[in-house]
Amino acid sequence: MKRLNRDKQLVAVALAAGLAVGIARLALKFIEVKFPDVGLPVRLLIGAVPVALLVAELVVVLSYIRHQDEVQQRISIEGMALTFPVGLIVVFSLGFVMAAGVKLPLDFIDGGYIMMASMLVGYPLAYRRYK
Amino acid sequence: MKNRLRVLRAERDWTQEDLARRLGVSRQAVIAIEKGKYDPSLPLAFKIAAVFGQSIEQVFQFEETDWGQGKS
Repeated sequence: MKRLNRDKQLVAVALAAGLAVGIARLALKFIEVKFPDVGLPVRLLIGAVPVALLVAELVVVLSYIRHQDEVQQRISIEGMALTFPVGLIVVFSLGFVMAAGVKLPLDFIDGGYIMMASMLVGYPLAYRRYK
Repeated sequence: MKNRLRVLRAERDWTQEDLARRLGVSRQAVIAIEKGKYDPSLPLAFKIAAVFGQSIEQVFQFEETDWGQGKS
């Protein structure tokens, strides 16, 4: 099988991880409603699948960054440096709004999605600086 | 920091892609350096000078305004 280049690897693993998070979440909800007797080990195992893919994503990201040139590395690092505060601002803002009593259809796992989505702000900003 | 990358490249009729290939970096890196948006590391600066057969000082000019700039 032909090996995917690093860009495609990164996207493929990220998509697989994102999809696995969604599927695992739905599966756990389904089990909770339809099969409440399913044991904790099985539920934990289902939850471990997307986590394993996220670990794989971490490995792919590290390899990707290591093979970038210095300008690309600078963009990646600045992109991440912008992504985390932006993500944290959104996560904490929503968290405090919910803690104050506003009901939102969000839970702990959504924080991960928000962090991922904040890359859409951080990376373009960093990229723009070196364009 | 000023540089003469664009001029040196034009003299040799190289595209940004050609230069990037010779340096082993992305075209994006060449663009950023050429526009002065990014100051290359010392090894890359030496490599750029070597590719053009010039000294670093002939390619990059350190200016008065660069004093006190701890960032690129």
